Amino acid sequence: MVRRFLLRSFQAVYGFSQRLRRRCTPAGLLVLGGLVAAGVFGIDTQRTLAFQIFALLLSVLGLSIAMTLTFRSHLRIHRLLPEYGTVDQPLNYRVIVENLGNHAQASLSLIEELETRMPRYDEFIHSPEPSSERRNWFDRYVGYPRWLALLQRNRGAAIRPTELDVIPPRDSIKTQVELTPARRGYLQFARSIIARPDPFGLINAFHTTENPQSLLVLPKRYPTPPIHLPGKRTYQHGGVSLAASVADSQEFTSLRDYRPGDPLRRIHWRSYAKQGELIVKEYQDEFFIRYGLVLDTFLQDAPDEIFEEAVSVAASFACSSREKDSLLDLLFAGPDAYVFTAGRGLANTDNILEVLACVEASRDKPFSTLQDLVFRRASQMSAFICVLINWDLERQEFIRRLTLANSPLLVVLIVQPGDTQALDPGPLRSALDRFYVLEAGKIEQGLLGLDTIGIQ
Amino acid sequence: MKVPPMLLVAALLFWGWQTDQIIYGVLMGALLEASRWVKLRWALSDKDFNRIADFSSILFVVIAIYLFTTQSIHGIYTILQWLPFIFFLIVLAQVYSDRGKIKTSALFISLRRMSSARAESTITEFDLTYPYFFICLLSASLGNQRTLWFFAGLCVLAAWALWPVRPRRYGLRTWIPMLALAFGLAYAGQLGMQNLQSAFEGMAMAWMDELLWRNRDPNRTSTAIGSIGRLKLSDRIRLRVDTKGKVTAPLLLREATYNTFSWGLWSTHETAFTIVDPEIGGTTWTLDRQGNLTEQVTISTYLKKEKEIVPVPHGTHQIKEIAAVGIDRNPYGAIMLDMRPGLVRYSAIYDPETSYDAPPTPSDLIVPEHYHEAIEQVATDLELSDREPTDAAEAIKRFFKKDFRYSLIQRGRYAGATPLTDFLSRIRQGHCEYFATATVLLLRAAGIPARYAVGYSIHEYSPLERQYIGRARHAHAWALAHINDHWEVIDTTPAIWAPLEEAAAPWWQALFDLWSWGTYRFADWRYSDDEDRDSNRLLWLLVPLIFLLAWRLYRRDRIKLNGAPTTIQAPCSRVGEDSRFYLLVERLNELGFTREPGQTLRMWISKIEADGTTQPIRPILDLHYRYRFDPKGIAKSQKQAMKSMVETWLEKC
Repeated sequence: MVRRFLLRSFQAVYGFSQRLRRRCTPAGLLVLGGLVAAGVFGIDTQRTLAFQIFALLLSVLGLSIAMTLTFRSHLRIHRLLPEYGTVDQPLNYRVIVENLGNHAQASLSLIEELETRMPRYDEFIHSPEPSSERRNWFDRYVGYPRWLALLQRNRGAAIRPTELDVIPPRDSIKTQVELTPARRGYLQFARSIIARPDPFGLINAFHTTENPQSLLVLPKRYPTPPIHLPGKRTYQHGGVSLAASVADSQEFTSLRDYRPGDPLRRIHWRSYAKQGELIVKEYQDEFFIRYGLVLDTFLQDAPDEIFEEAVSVAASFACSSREKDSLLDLLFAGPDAYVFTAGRGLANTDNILEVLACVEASRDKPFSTLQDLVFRRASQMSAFICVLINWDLERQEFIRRLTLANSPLLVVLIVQPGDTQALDPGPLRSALDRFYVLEAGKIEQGLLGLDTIGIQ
Repeated sequence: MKVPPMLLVAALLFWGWQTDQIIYGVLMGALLEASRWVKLRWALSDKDFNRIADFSSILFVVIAIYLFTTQSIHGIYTILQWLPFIFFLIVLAQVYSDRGKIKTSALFISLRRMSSARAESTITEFDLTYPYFFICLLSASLGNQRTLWFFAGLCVLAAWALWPVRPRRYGLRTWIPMLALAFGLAYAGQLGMQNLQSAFEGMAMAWMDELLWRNRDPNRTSTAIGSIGRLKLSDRIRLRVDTKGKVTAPLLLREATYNTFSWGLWSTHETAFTIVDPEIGGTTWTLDRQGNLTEQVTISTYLKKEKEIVPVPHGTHQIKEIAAVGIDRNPYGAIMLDMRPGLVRYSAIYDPETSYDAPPTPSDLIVPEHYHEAIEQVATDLELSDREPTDAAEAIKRFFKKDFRYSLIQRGRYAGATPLTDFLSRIRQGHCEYFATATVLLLRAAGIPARYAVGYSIHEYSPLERQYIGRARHAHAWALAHINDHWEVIDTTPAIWAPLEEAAAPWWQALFDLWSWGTYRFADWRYSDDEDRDSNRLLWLLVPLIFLLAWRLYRRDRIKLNGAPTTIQAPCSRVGEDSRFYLLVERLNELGFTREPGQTLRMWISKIEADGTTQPIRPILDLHYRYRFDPKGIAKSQKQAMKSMVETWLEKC
C-alpha cells in the first residue's frame, strides 16, 4: 500500500519537475528558487524586506509567463535518424527546422522528447539499483533514486536541448542533435518541441510537433581476443538454406533414378521425357562449420546489469571474426525458444545484433526450455559458446550433458562484481581453458586480459 | 551562466549598506571581482571543494548554535544577515579555481558517495555566483531599512542581473518597457502585501480577542511592555454603555486591579471572591450599602463563560436590572457575574468620588528592586518625597503630560535596561500600560499606596446606536492611588491616545459596526426576558416579510402592466368550431337550459330530451360529434344535413 502510494507520488513529483525543467530556463529556475526563499523569509513584512524581493520576482515571473502566450510560429520539423545506435556510444542525428513564417526566428532551442514508460509496480519492487549500497538508508528505503534509474532505463537516453541558429523567413536550417543511448532496444521518439524564451529569458513558450519515430539501439560490444574453436565440419541436411530455412542447395552433382520419398521438385523432367522413367537431380551434401551461441536469459533474482553484460558479451562474440563460410546460430529463450542463424548469405551480423538488441530477460520460465532447444540442435553444431549468467547446479548439469554429447564448448560466465572468488568450474574442472568468468562492470578488462579464447 | 562584471561587488555593497557592514562588503566584493584581472588560479580538486564546503557548513552550524543560544529565535535573522560571510569562502574558491565551477556533490554529502560510482560526465557542475548574488539580496533585506532606497537598489540590481540572460531576439524597445512594467507591478505588489498582512493581523487579533481577551484573569495580567513593533488591538465592539446622555470625560470601566509588578506582569495574591447577596426580587445586588445614588450607567456586553469578570465604573456600589444566578466580588473591585453565556445587560450605580476597594496593604507600596533605581531617580527629580500626596499625584501627572508621548509602536531594543526604565529615562513614549505602570511605581515611591487597574475607557459615541460603545482597542490601564482615605483614579496616559487609535481604524469599520449592531439587536431580542419587549421585537421579523411581500406584489403588478400574455394561444383554430350545433346550444341557453360544469353535451341533451319540451336533438348531436372529433370528419352532404336539421329545430323551438 505504502509502496504503491510512493510509486504514484514519484510519478507526480517527476512529472512536475520535468515540466518545470522544460518550461524554465536555468535563470528561470534560479528566479523560481529565489521566489520561494523570499516568500519564506518575507512572510512577516514587518521583520524583513524580503517581501519586496518576493514581489519583484513574482511580477517578473508573472510577466514572463504571460509572454509565453504570445508565441505564434509556423515551423516544420523533420528528424533524420541513423539506422542503428549502440549503447553508451554517442550518436548524432540531424533535425531540419523549417520556418514557414515571414519573420526570422532567433534564440530558439530544440527539445527532443522520448517516450517514457513509467516503471510498473513489480518492476519497481524487484529491480535493485546498481550501487544502491552507496545510497543512504532513506533513499534505499523510499527508493526514489531506484525508481528514477528505472525510468531513465525505460526512456533509454537523455537528450539535451539544442540551441538553434537564426532561421530566416521561408527558409530552413539543419542542426545536429547528440544523444547517448543508455540501453539497447528501440528508442521511441515522441515529439519535437521548439522552445522560445520570454524577454527576460526565464520561461519558455513551446511549439510542439508530434513526431513519432524509433531508433534501434544495438547492445554494447567489447573488443574480443581471437577465438579458436574446433573447425570440424558437420553434415547439414538440406544444405545451407535448409540449415536455417526451406530452400534448395545450389551444388548440383548428378542424376539418379527416383526413389520413393524424393521430392517432386527434384524430378528432372527432361530426362523423364527422354527415358520415360523418373530421374531425379542429386545435390552435394553440405558439410560446414556451424557454431551455436547460447545466451542464458533466465535472470531470476540477479540484477539486470548481469543480463545486460551477458547480452553484450554475446553480441561481442557474434561480431568477432570467425572462420569463413561458418554459420552462427543464436539460441536463447524468451517468451518462446528462439534460434537465429547467420552466415553464408543467410543473414549477417547486423541481423544478429538486431535480435540481441531486443532480447528480454526471462524471469518466469525454467532453464530447461533452453536445454531442450540446444540438445535438439547439438548434432548439427561444430561447437557451442555458452554465455551464462548463473552457475547453479542446473546449469552445471546442462554443461555436463553437452560435454557428454561430445560437443566442443566454451563457457563464459558473467558474475556480479566481487563474485569471482572460489567459483567451482564443476563439469569443466578438467578443462579450465574452456571456462571463463567475467565480472560485470569489468568485462572489457576481463576480455582484454585474455590472449586468446578457445579450445586448444 | 556567469555574472556580469561588477554585479557581485554591487550586490555585496548593497548588502553592506543595508546591514551596516559596508567595510566587509567592500573587501569581499573587491576580492571576488579581482579574479577577473588576476590570472592566478588554483587547481582545486573535488576533495578540496568538499573540504571548503564542509568548513562553510560547520561555520554555519557553529554560528547558528551561538546565535540561538544568545538571541533565541531572533537569531535566525542574524544568521540570514551573515549568509554572505558564510558562503564567501566557497564562492571565492570557485572564482579562483581553474575549473570555475563547483560540483553539486560538494554541497551534498549524500551525492559524494554516489559520484565516485558514476561516470565523470553525469555529475552536474554549476556556477555559484548567481545564487550568491541572490543570497546577498536576501541578506540585505534582513537589514530592514524601510526606505524607498532598498526597493530602488533592488530594481537596479535585478535589471543588471537580468541583462546578460535576455534573449537576443528581443530589442531594447521590448525589454525596457517590460522591465519597467515588472518594477511597477512589484512596487504595487509589495504595498499590497503590507496592507494584506496588516488586514490579516487585524483579523487574527480579533479572533484572539474573541478567545482570550474577554476572559480577564483577576489574578494576573500580562502587559505588552517590552514588545517590539506596533501594538494592535481589534476594532470589535465589546461593550455598549448607555449613560442617559453624553459624558464630558472618558468613562473608565474597571475589570480588575492588581498590586504586584514584575517583569511585565501585574498580579495580585488576594483574590478570594465573596458572594454578594441579592435584594428581594433577585435583580438588584448591593455591593456596599453606604453608597449614595449619584450616577447610573447601563452596560451591555457578551459573556463567553458562565462565570466571567465584567467591567463596572470606579465606585460602583450597586448592580441592578440583571437576572444573574449570582454575583461575586473580590477586595480589589472585580465583579464576577454568574449567568448564562451570551449578551448581558446590567445597570451599575456608582459614586465616582468614592471607592469601596479594600484598604491599602504593604504590597501597595512596593517598588520592584530592578526598577528601584530608575523610579527613585525620577522621584528625586520630581521631589516627590517632600510633597503632600495630592500634590505629588499632580506632579506625576504634570511629569507625564509634559515630557511623554503616546505611541503604539516600539522600535528599538532596550540595551542593558528594562523596558520600563528605558521608557522613563530615554524613549519617553509608549502605550497606556507603560504610563499606568510607571505612575503606580512613582506613586509608591512618593509613599502613596497605588494599584494598577485595567478595563475600558469609554469615549466613543455611536449615533447609530445612540449610546457609547467600547471596542477591544479601547482597553485601557490606569493607576489607583489611595489619597485622603479613598482610592482615586490617576490616569496619566496622554489624552491623544484615543484619536490616535481612531485614526488607525480601517475604512471598513463602519460596515463591521453595522453588522455588530445587527447582531446585538438580535441577541438583545433573543436573550430578553421581558414578554412585552419580546412581542415588540418579534415585529422586527415582519420587516423582511413585508419587503418580500412588497417585492412579489411589485413583480406581479409589473407583469400585468407590461401586458405580457399569461398564456400562449395556439396559432391554429380547433376543428369543428364552426359547427351549427352551437347555435342550438345558444337557443337552449336562452330557453333556460344551462349546462352544468362537468356535464357532457350528451348528458345535458339527454336530460333536456327527457323533459319532452323540445324537439329531438340527439341526431344532430351525433353529427356534431362526428364533425367535431372524427379524424376523417363528415361529408359535405352530412354537413349540409346537419345545417338543415339545426335550422329546422331552431324554427320549431
